[in-house]
Amino acid sequence: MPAPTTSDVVAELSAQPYKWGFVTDIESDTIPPGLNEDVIRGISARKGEPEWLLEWRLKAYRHWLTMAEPDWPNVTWERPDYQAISYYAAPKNFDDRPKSLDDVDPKLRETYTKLGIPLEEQLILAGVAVDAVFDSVSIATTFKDKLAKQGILFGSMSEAVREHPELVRRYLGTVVPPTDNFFAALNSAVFTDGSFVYIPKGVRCPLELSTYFRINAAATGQFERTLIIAEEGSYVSYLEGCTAPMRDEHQLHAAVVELVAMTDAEIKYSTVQNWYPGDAEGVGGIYNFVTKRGKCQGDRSKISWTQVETGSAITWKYPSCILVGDDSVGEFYSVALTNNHQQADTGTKMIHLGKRTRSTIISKGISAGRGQNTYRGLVRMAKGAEGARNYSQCDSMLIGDRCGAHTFPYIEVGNPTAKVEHEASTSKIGEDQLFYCAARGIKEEDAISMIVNGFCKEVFKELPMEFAVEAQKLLAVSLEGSVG
Amino acid sequence: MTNETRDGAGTTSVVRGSTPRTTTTPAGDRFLADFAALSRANGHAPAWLNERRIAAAARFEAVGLPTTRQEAWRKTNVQPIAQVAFANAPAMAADSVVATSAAAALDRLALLALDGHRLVFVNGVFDAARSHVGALPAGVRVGTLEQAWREGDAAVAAHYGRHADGDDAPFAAINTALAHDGAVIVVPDGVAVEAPIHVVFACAGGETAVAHHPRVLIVAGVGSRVTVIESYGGLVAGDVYLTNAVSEVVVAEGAEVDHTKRQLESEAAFHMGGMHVVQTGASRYVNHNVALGGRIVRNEVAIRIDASGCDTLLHGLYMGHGQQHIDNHTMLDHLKSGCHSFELYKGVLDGRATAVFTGRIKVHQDAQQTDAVQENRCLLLADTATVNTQPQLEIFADDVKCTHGASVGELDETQLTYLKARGIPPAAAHGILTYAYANEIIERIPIELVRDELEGLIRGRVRETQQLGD
Repeated sequence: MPAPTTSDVVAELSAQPYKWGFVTDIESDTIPPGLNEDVIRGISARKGEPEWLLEWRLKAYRHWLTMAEPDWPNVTWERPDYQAISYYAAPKNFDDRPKSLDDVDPKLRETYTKLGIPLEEQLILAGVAVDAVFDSVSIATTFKDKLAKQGILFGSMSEAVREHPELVRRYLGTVVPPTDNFFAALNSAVFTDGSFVYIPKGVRCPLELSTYFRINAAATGQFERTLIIAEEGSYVSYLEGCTAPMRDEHQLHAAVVELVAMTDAEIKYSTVQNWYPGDAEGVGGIYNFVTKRGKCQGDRSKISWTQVETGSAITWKYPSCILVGDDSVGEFYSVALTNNHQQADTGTKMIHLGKRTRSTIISKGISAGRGQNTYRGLVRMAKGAEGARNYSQCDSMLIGDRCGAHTFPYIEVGNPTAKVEHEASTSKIGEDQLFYCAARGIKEEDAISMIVNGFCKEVFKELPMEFAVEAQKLLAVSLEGSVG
Repeated sequence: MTNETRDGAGTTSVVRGSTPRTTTTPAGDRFLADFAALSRANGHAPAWLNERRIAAAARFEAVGLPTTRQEAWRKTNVQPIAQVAFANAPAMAADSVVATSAAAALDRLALLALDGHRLVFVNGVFDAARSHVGALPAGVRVGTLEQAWREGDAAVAAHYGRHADGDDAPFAAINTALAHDGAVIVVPDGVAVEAPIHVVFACAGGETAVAHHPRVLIVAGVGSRVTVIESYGGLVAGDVYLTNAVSEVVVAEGAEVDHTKRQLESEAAFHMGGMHVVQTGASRYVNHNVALGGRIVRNEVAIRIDASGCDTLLHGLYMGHGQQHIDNHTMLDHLKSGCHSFELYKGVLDGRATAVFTGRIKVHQDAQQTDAVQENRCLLLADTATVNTQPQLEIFADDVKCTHGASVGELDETQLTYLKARGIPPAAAHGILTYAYANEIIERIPIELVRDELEGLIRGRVRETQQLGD
């Protein structure tokens, strides 16, 4: 029996439709499309925000007006019409929010079940507290009481603004200033909700905190804002996972995530992103333009980013670490897979300011179909980064001859005692590897999946267990199309 | 990852090249004025040359001098160049600028002891007295561009200005517009030129800051072989001048070209250099790029590998001290399948020196079975020295093997300990290791005399570092 050739296998790459595409029909209380100061006032009013936050938003908006979209990323895209986006959508039955899981709208729960995220099961079996964001308003927050006993605050940003305004005000925008970049400014002006986490001094968060983001209402941009603060000696692991229903037009997602780690604190932030990537012809799909940044404020603090990016038409983000405290540690582990017409321009920035700061970058890019995958990263050793170390490794794998893999690292060293090492390689799955597997009766499809999983192993092992399983499944599903 | 220039809300990016220069600079204005004067005086240049000059001047006028807002120039600020209205050096005759004290410097730069052919240019003017072209195989041209233009050499007409002048190369455009002479080496099919050809571009500034625009064209025919050394240097220490050099190299099927650049400019001078190579057949091209001089230095080495089965080797060494800024920009454009490229650039930075390395390897879709290796290593000897490095891979073919690596750091601690354990004083141990580090590049240069001379210069640099360190 003739074995399928690689090109056959690749040809089938585009044949796989998005498995989890569907739209849940829930009426949304949506502000009409358009962006101006009144819309921002409207969002702020609907959320019952204090005056300072409205001013903060307006200031960001006015600055945003002076900015233009960046054109340096290695992606091609249709510029969104910012006046055609609706900046606020909330499930209509917002006012009578469910008090427990049983009160959750059955339709929503159905959605989660379709997504393969049985909420109850996760709560019981995995012990995960879920702050589920459906469109822009949190509708279910669990385990809050348990966490609250330890002084941990975990909930939606809107709640935090109401209940802990002093904390929000102290930290909001300190890591990603509202003027940071075009999309961060836009987010600062119109953000609707997101997660807020506060871990008090010396507390080790007993649960993996998790939020599932989901875009639902058609033509609604999502502008999530997440803020995580880990006080001295605390630890938290935060999981973020995304899938989105089938949609025909491009959708903009411009989130901002800010992390602050004080002395001896550790934050682990894991993402599995599987938003709708567009169809095989590259029509539709999410624009994922996210600003994620963590500040290792205190000595010996640690921030670790792990991401598995398999979805979105365009992924464009650089989860970064600003290593301020001496001996602080930054880590970035990434798997980015682009298939069909997907494009990814992702990487990290490690800014070493403190003495003996260390950072590790492991990036695995997989390109299939007509996918374009770019690693772009910055490692900066400032003058004061005495004895700082960085190790970067960026590996790319190409499946098919119509895709591309690109590596653009930026290395800036201003201290002679700092050591920076960068390695990158690009390769395809070796014929000898496939032959070896074939000789042992392993089907090509399984062999490729196995080899790709092995390629990504260094990253997967950084994920929390339940996420690692999901990530491997996701990769298998995303690759399934590409290897028949 | 700085943001590009913005001009307000909602507007799209400015279309480059189609609008008049948005900024004028003293240097830019002067170049255009020189061009206008040159066009009037230039009676006997062939029509094709005049056309290419006019087109180049127009290109320059459209883009102007680069700013740090352009990604390719983000880390190299040419404002110190832009603010000087350089006098056009060729206005002065060679004899009058080479004073006796400078003559010795010129002899050193020209490596008179080197056995081979030699073309010497001072401030852009051909110095026949110091040049020497020995017996050559039939059909080989080693001479001045001016003569080739006059005689109507077909190879020159076919290639001159065809490889260097991209839309986004303002300095190359200035060179094409203003170069009035230079060196040309044409080796016909199947001919090997055994003796090395040494092309020397010296500059003496004096009271006024001058600019010269050295130009080299090398055309290596099918199955030919040639070794070329380009030397750049100032004749009076501390002279401020601009060297704006462009070399074009065409390597045909089966040809072998070994190409060395020896850059020993005055440390107050500016050096903007571009080497543009195209490999049109399965061939071997080796480039050695040594930069020791200059205040602000930019080296662009761009290779178009436009045939299957090519070998391309790039070796670079840059040593900066004092206030030097050295920017190396290399581009390997793999267009065809089955090619092998190897690139190793090493930097040694002391004092307040800054270095930039941008190395791009682009593997096009048809360039299957490409094997490309790129490595940039930097040694920082002082707290105040800075390194920026950007090794870049752009891969559009799947069956390739591409790696790049970059490392920045101090001397290896275990190696230092090893030497110290054998009774070698710390300063000397530093010196030995620094020298060995730099010499990894120098030892690849095939001409012994050139190697020895550069080794001596490096030893001098290392000694100076040691003394400062003691």
